[in-house]
Amino acid sequence: MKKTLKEIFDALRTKNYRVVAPVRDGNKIFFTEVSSPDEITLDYVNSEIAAKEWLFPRTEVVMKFDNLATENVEISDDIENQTVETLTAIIGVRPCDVKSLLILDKVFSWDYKDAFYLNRRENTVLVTLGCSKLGDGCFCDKVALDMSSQEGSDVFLAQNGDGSFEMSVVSDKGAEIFPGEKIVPEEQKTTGDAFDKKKIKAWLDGNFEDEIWDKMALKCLSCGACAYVCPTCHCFDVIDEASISEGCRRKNWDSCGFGQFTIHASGHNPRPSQKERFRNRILHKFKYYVDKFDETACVGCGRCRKVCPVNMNLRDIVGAIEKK
Amino acid sequence: MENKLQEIAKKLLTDGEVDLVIGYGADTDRFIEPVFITKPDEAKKLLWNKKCFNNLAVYLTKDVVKHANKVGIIAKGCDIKAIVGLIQESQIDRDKVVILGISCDGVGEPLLKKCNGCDVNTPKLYDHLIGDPIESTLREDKYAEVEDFERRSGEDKKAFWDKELAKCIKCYACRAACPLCYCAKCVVEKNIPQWVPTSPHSAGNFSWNFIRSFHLTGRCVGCGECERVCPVGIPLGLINKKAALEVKSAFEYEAGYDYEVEPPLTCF
Ligand code: SF4
Ligand code: SF4
Ligand code: SF4
Ligand code: SF4
Ligand code: SF4
Repeated sequence: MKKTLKEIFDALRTKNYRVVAPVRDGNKIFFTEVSSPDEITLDYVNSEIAAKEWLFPRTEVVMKFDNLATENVEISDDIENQTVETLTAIIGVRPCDVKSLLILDKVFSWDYKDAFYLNRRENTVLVTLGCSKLGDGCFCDKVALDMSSQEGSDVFLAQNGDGSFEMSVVSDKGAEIFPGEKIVPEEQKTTGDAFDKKKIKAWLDGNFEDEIWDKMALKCLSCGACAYVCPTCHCFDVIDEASISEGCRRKNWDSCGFGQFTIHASGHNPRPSQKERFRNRILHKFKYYVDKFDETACVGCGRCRKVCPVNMNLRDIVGAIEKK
Repeated sequence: MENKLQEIAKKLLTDGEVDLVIGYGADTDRFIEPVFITKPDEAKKLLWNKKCFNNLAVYLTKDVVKHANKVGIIAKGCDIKAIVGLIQESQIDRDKVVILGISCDGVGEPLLKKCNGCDVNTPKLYDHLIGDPIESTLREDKYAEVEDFERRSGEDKKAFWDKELAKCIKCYACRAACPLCYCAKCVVEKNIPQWVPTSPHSAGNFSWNFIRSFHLTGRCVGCGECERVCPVGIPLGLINKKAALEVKSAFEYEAGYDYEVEPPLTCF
């Protein structure tokens, strides 16, 4: 059915959803909580930081403790506060970011159920905006993700020429907000020119010590930019912060690109140089995740290259591995 | 210029004068990527144009260079300021680097901000000059943005930084791209005890960005790499320039011009 952004926004607000949407800040786009549809920019390729941030924030408190008590220290689990997390609707999220959440669901509900992520996931509605052409640096086609894929969406929007949207309701959650005909999302179509993931994985399985890793990692500067903007990266650090009277434990984003990521208390570092760290990044996405969850952990959004100070391009790197 | 660049690089490698040349190669839609050339034949990969943004001096303190006997580096005037800093701070030997200095009239279209206030279009230090000397015509005072900002009220400044620093995701790309952030263990990595909060919340982000600036006070050469690479677009140059301006007025010193001068805040 045909809808305007305002109609969609109002329907969500009526159902008490807080609305998160792409907002322009200078020449950057960030997913931001908005109070009016006028703040939203849907004429965009992708956000700087993936929408995952609204489910897996850059920092969050997971536990609190009283730092003054000398006995019977009270520790409160912050899960309780998180279960009452506000209902959230993310409008204008791209199919690659939606796909990334399906990928993250696996790791966050595997041996340990991450209640923080899962509670937010439960309370979040995804109003996806399909893409009509590949943006600069996007390579979802290479990882076999269709840019108009409805998989994982609750509501799906396609842009009409007149500024309105063709809206389809995809899930039950979506139907609660927009009663009406529900469509069955199409089986994931494979895109024409996709990577041969099996071939890539087979090469990765056998070439942990190949010289390609030295060469490839030479220019990498060991920062966290690629991981922090990536919609599927999910590593985090757990740290305690305290004042004299109280303290808390936080879960903060972390990146395998940092030297400190793997350092042992003894001082030994099993990934002493960028070669081992960058190799881990590729292996985690195209081998380990496949081993564990039968899925690659890259949706081809191209953000990692866009923020990389030295333009490390996963599309080319993985493409070169495929040709090996 | 490209020809001359390739020619000199090739000769340096052929004569064994250097065993590595760090330069700009592979053209992309964003910029020219850094390349590491070790064979004379590969010197033809070297490029020079308006998309050569990176300050390659950042690699001079990395293992790849430490393992080389002598390196050649392609550098613009602003990049060479960082090399000057590294020599001053005993991070590299002047004898160990061959500087292929570029006569540069600016990069980026439109020009990067730093190029408008550039006074080193012809580098101040080099072993080979590529291109004809260019006289610097300051299109803009590089400290103008600091002076403009200073005129704002305290409240206004606080609101500005609250908003900007809230964006920081603590990716440390600013540190990674900075040629003068070479500490093997950065102060934020010192965690017994944890001196600087690592969380990307307000206290953590203020601590990080201002501590970094304090540590670069009198050392930052204004190459602009930190600001260029910040994925969320925080105007980091404004913090660093404010510090540089203070040093200038207190000590009549600006970093990156002469490695024989002792820096006022860092003597090793
Ligand atoms: S690895 Fe890069 S391209 Fe792939 S999902 Fe992450 S940010 Fe996007
Ligand atoms: S690939 Fe790029 S963004 Fe990622 S750690 Fe290396 S330099 Fe940083
Ligand atoms: S600051 Fe000067 S030397 Fe550096 S790129 Fe700009 S014009 Fe060239
Ligand atoms: S590059 Fe930007 S976002 Fe990353 S740590 Fe530095 S200031 Fe923060
Ligand atoms: S702080 Fe920024 S401008 Fe200063 S030397 Fe480092 S990267 Fe260059």
